[in-house]
Amino acid sequence: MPLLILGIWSVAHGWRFPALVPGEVSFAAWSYVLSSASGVGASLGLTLSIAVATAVIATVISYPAGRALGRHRFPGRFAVLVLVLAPAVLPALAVALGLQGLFLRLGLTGTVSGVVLAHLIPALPYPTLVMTAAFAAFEPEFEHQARSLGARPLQVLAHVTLPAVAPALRVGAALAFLVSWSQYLLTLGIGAGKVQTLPLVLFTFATSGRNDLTGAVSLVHLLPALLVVGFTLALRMFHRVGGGRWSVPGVGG
Amino acid sequence: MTMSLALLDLSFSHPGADKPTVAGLDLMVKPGTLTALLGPSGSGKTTILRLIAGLLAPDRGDIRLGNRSLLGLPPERRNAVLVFQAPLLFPQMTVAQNVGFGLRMQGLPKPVIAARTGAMLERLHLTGLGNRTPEALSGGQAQRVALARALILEPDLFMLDEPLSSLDPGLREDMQALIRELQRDLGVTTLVVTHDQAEAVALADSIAVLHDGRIVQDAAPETIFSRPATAAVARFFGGENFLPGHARDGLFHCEIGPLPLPLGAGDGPGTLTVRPEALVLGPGAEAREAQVVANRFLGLHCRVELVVAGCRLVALVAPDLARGLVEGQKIGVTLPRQALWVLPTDPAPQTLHRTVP
Amino acid sequence: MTGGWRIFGMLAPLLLVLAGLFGLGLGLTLMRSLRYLPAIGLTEPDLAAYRAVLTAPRFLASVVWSLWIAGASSGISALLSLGTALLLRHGFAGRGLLLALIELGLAVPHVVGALGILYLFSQSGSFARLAFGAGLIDQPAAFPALTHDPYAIGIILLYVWKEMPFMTLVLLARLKRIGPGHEAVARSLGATPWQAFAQVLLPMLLPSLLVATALVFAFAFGAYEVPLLLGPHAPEAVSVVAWKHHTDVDLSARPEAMAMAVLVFVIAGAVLALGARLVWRLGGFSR
Repeated sequence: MPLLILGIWSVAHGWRFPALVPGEVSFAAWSYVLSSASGVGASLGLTLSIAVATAVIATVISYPAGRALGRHRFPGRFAVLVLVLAPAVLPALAVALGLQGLFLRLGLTGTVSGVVLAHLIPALPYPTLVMTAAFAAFEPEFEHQARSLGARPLQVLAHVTLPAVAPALRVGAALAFLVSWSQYLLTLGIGAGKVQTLPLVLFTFATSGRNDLTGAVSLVHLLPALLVVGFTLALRMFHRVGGGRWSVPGVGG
Repeated sequence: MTMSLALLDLSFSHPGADKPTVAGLDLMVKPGTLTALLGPSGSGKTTILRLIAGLLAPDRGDIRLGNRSLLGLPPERRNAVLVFQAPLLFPQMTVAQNVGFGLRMQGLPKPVIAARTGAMLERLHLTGLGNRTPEALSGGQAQRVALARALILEPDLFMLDEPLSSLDPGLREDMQALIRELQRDLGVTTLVVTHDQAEAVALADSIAVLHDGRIVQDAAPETIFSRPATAAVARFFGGENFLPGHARDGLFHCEIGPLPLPLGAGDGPGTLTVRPEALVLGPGAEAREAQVVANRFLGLHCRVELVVAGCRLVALVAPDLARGLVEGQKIGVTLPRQALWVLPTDPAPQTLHRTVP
Repeated sequence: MTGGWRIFGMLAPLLLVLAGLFGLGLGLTLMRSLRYLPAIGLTEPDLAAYRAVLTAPRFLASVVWSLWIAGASSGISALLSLGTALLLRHGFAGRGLLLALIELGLAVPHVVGALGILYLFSQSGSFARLAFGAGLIDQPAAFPALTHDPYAIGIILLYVWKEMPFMTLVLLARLKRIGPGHEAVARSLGATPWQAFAQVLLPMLLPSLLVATALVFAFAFGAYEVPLLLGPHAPEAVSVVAWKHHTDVDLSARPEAMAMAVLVFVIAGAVLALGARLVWRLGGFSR
């Protein structure tokens, strides 16, 4: 419901208290927002590329990590799991402040790569946990059986392993994307005002008092996130029909 | 071309284990025959299969298929296919795609794969199931798909890990017959691992009994039954009746009395054994007097426990012959000469856990 | 055929990023908070910043306020999600659709949700206008202050709106895992529906519920953008206060900002540790 109100505001014009519905419907807010003058378009592109970069890097890192954590019992596993979980649940403020100093030294403040690196911190835990669960449920003997049937290691990866964990990879990537997409404080701290992602832009509009512009930008900020999640959901529905179980109860050495 | 399999002085320890899983094991499988590797759970049978398949590397020893060594070759180049205990059909592929998997990995052209897949499906009575997904198959069907997937590759060595343990008893016999038939038709050298002695007897040309990482006896089923190598092997196959004693001058002296020895048996201490189903109850020329201690109906036969000259003997007799035998009754029992067998003295008596007969 | 080194190699990128960035960032913050900066000659760590922070009534007030927000949000969410999960447990027409909607809702960024709440519940917002139209109030200020208010009602409302679906999903997943068998057994042994719930099901749900509540608590406690948007001038959320100090022109406020950040971190961590301990005491998760 709150989303609806934002939509209405975005097309409102001169909507003052106590009118229940906007007196005039105008798309002036939208035309401004979508124009290059507002900087919203550029910010959208920037935020998208940062989020996609974060998602890709996080997914790539989470694959081997999840495989190690999900499949093997090694000393220190619990500690690693806690370390993985920590950035997701603990406030990012403490890390952000210190990181700013470090990045300043490295010349990474105010750069997009710096922001991507910073975003990785809260984004990594989710795909890692998802991949860990996926590999825990994936019976290793499938890979052995494929080898015995004549598949080379790369073939096993392509034909057996990746299809098995593909849903998890998608979910992990989507989660990482969402985390990066909504980041505010980290971007503010590391970006030093130069990297204007959508949440920052939105904030500026929100405190400007122009509710109509704010409404429009909010929806712009909302849409890709919804699309990503919706897409993942749709894929999941689709695969429920065709996919299968990759775990086998009662199989042992 | 069929090849022989030879395991030479094979040794392997799992990291962290205090004793080796496989210790200096030697085994020969003649080309085109089926050998059952039999042993209780945890005796290292699956480890041996994995060593041959290339999923594990031995600490010592050699694995030879035909006249080439498999050591150092990755699993996909050994042409020795292992079918695991669970069918492990790839869930995202259809039955046909599963069966054709190995051929696809080799890069064979699609029409060839399709033709061979069709032929294999037919051979295993799976025609029409080609487009199904593994979820939609019954246990027996899934098992057959796994077999098809392996055999289509025409491997030099075919290995099965407890292939029938997850199937219902009724299905098991059909599958045993199917495996026998396929193996004979294709003439592929086969190694089956199992803990079920009945299954081994039904499937194998030769049974290799595994204990403590070594092969204790490797022979045809009939030989194992009538001439077991150790008391442990005998007990594992349902043998009872062990009489310690001493052989001298063609006679075996034990508590029951002197018994005629099989020809060629040497002198010295040993244990005489005779299979329960070989004992003959009733009057006879060489019958000894025995007293019935117990008589239990077990369906296919009766288990009769007797005491002869202070020694306990067990006989398995056809039900109508044992009908009416009651505790305390006196009856004659004959130990036929050809059924007697002397075991060498075990340096350390071992017990193999036996599956319920 | 994996050795210890291979596992390490697989984990290395992850550890590098997390331990490196996260650990270093945290470490630097800690050092700064102790006024330990070898780079510019401060080599004597001291607790001056902490002392200043812990005695500042502004900070203490914001801690209390943030704790209140976190507690109320997580508590209300927990109760609501428990009820919802129990209701949704058994299938009904449209259940799949509802679940999909919930998952979609998770995608909404907090800021967007906060703005929505603002436009609905503020004193010049839609509900206020409804009230005016209904004759309940005669001017904007007469509408109860639900946003920018000292009770943080708007903020709590947002967090509940956003986190309750998440907790419901967690509980539903757990309920599915548990299955109806245990309660059925209890009922056949003579338990009433309420007893079966309270004595059998609830204890099994409690670990998941506690973990989810602790997570929401920690998150709400340390959040920044939502309290900034929906909160009053005073008190402010801890993160907001810390950030203001950090960007203060007065450089001596920096260590204090760091100290605040560390304290926020520690408090959130303590809550999570407490939650973990409780779960462990309860016997952990039954498979």
